[in-house]
Amino acid sequence: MNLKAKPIVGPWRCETGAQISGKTERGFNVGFHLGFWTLVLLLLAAMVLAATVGATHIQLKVTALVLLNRAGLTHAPRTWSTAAETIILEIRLPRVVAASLVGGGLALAGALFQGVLRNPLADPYVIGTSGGAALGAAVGLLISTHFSVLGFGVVPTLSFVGAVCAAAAAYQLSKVGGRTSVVTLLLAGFALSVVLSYIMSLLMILNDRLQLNLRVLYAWLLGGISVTSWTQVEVIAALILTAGTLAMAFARSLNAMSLGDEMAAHLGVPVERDRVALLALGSMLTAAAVVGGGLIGFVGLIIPHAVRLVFGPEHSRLLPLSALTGAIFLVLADLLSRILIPPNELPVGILTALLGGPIFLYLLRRSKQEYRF
Amino acid sequence: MSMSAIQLENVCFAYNGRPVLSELSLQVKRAERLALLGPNGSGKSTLLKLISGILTPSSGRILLDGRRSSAVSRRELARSIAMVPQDFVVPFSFTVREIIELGRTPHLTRWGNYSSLDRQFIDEAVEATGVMDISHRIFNQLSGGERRRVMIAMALAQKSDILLLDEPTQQLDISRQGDVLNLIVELNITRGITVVAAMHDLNLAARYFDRVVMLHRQSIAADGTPHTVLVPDFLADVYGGQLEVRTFREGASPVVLPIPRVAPREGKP
Repeated sequence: MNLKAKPIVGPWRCETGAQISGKTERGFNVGFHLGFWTLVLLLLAAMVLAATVGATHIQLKVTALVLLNRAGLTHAPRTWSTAAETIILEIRLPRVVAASLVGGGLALAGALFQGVLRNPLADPYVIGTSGGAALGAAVGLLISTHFSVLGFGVVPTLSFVGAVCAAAAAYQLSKVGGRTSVVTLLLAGFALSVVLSYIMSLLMILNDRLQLNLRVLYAWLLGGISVTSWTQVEVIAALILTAGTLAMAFARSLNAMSLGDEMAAHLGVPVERDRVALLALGSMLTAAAVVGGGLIGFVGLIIPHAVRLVFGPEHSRLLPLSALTGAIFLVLADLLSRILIPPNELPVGILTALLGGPIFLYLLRRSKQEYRF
Repeated sequence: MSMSAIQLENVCFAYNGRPVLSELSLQVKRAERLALLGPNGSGKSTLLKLISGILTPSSGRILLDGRRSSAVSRRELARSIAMVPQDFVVPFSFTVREIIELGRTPHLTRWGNYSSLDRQFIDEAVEATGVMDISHRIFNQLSGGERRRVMIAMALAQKSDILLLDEPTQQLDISRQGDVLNLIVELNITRGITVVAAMHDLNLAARYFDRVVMLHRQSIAADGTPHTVLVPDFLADVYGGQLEVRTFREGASPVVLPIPRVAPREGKP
C-alpha cells in the first residue's frame, strides 16, 4: 500500500473530453466586449429608428442629421423644416430616451432581484412594489388635483411613493432579529402586494361613488411610456443612472451571494449590509421606471434570463448587458405600441409580453443544455 | 516564540439557548494539519464556523495570529481564512473557472477588475487542484469528487494561510476520498497552509492527519496523535457500542471498526 502523496495533478485530468478552447458548455458563447459594443450600437440604432417613425413622416437621414447636428458631431446645412426638427427633438426623442431608461432600469432591477433572492421567478415588482405603485396610482386618481412634482402629475408621483413605501414595508416585515431571510422576504413582498392591489380593486368597485377615471388607471396598470418632456426625462435619468451605477459596485457581492449567505460571508462579503443596499437600489430603479411607464411587466423578468442564456450568469457582465438589452427591447416595443393601431396607442405592457415571450421561449429551447438559471 | 495560527480561549457557544460548546480551548500552530472528530452533533461544524468568524462565541475569545478575530473585518478575515463547506447549491450555471474566480472576492475592490496577480493566483489554484481540463464545464454538472476539487481550488485562490474543511470526503467514493485528502496533505506540506478539517471518518482522519481532536460533551475530550486518541475504551465511551482498534503493521495508522454482534460465517457461503 502506497501512502505517499500522489502528484497533485490527479487521475481526474482526463475524465472529460472538454476542450480547452475558451468554449463553455453553456451552449452560446459570446465575449463580453463584443456583446457590449454590439448592444450599444443596436441601442443607438433603435433610438434613431424610434425617433424617425411616427404619424408625421420624417426621413431616416433627416433624423440622423438632426441628432448628429444637435450632438455637435456634424454641421450639416438644414434642409428640413423646423417642425420636423421640433417633432424629433422635443416630442419623439424625450419619449424614446425615457423608454430606454425605463427598459434598462427594469431589466437591471430584475437581474438584481433574481440575484439577491436567488430566485428565477423574481422580477422588479417582487417585493411589493407593484401593489404599492398600483394603489398609489389609484389614490392619485382619487385625489385628482392638478399638482405636479418635478414635471410629473399626481399619478406617477404617488405611484413612486407607493412603490418605495411597499418595498420598505416588505423589508421591515421580513426582518427577524436584525436579519432577513430571503424566503420570508419573498413571501412578505408577495402578501403585501396582494393586499395592496386588492385595496386598489376595492377602490375600483367603489368607483360609482368615487368617480375614478378607470381608463387612465387601467392604462397605468398595463404600462405605457407617459413621458412627454425633457424635465421628466432628466428626473428619471438621474434616478436610474445613479441607482444603476451604484448597483454595478455590488456585482461581486451578488456572485458570492449566489453560493448562499454563509459562503458569501466566508468570501468576505458583509451579506446583510449588501443585501439591504441591493434591495434599496432595485426598488429605486423599479419606482423610477414606474414613474416613466406605469407597471410594465415581463421586461424585468425575461431580459436577465435571456442575457444569462447567451453571456452566462456572472454579474459584472450580466448587469450592464441586461440594462442595455432591456433598453433596446423597450425602445422597440414602445415604437410598435405607437404605430400598430394609429391613431391609438397599444399599452406597451401587452407588447412586451407578446414579443418577449416567444423570443425567450426560443432562446430557452435553443440552448443545448437544460437551462439552470 | 511564534504565535499560534489559531487560538481559542474558553469559548462557549449555544444555538437558541441549547449549549453546543462550552469552555473550549484549543491552539493550532502554523502549518499544522488537524482533524476534528466527534459524533454527529458534537459541534465540529460549529467550531469551524466560530474559527472562520461566521458565528460569534457567546463568551471566550478567538485569536488569529494573536489578533482577536472579532476586531477584524469580514473582508480581512476572508483573506486569512478560507472555508471549504460540505457542499454549496449554486442556482446559476457558473463555469468551474468562474467559481474559482470567486475565491478572489475578498481581494477585489468594488469597482476593480481582476489584476494580473489575481489571474496568476487563479491559474495556480486551477493547476494545483488539477481542474484544468474541466475549467470550462458547468459547476452544477460535475460529479461529487470534481465539485469538491473545484471548491478546494476556490479556497486556494483566496490565498489564505488557514484552510478549514467541513467533511471534505463526504459522499465521495473511496478512491476520490484518497484523492481529496492527498491534495489537502500536499497543500499543507508544500505551501505550509494550516489545515483544520472536520472529519466523520475516523480511519481516514487517522491516516491523513498527524493531530486529531475529539469533540465530546461540548468540549475537547482528547487531543493528540491518532494512536493516543483512537483507543477502544475511550471510543466506546464517546460513540457508545463495541469498537475494535487494529494496527495492521508497525508504524501504520490505527483502524477503527465496529464489532459485529453476529460473526459472519467463515468459508464458503
